[in-house]
Amino acid sequence: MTRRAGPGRDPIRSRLLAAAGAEADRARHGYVGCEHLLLALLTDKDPAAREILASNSISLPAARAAVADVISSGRGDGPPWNAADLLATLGVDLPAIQRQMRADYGPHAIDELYRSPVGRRLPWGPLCGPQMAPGLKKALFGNEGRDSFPTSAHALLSLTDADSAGLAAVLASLGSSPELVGLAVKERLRQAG
Amino acid sequence: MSEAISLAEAASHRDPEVGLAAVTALRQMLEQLEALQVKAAREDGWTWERIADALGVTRQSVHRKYASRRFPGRRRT
Repeated sequence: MTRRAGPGRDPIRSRLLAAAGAEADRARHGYVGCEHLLLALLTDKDPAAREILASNSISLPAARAAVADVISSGRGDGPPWNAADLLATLGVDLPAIQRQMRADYGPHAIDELYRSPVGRRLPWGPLCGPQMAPGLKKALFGNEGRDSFPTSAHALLSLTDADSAGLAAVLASLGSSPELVGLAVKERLRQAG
Repeated sequence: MSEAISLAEAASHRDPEVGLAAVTALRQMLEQLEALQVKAAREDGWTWERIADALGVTRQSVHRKYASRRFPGRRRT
């Protein structure tokens, strides 16, 4: 029986999912995508991916700026706008609704909705936070035969295989490409034996 | 950032991409608000029938949508 990989079984995956979501929240993006996973790898405590990216002249500040530019210009994997801004065009004040729900049902009501029994089958919508892009799922969960990323370099290699237009645009603006980064990872892994 | 799209500008020109995305966000938000209220109603002891009446749908549809989600205090209707 094939054991299905999942974030709970893999500390690196769990860290990267959390960090990618935090990057999307921080930038007020409407989705979590491969672009944010690249940023997560640049902030992870395992330095392997960060070192490979640094050797390709990719730093966290430059990558954040590139991700912001790619997404705001509509070249990302998801929509360029976040839910709060979209709803504002309809005259709906999402932050006010979120405040009211927290006041009525507790400070963690919204955050826990997606994890609660009632929210189990709901989409990751405006109240709960950014939606996860299919490309990110593929990058994180695409290798079902493998349970774990031994290092963040392996996660970076998986990311470069994710066929993400947004990631390609980010790396292109940083003077690189998924192929170049992928080759650099393979070379580093080969040297490591 | 010269390529950056201004949401306000796009919305003011009635860009269907913005309009449809906004409607999608609204629909997702309504789904989540409904789930919050249904959960609260069940915790307060409301029956599925009463919840269905309040939502203006049939008992079967609300039960099918939520009953399998293992609410606290779940019981058969």
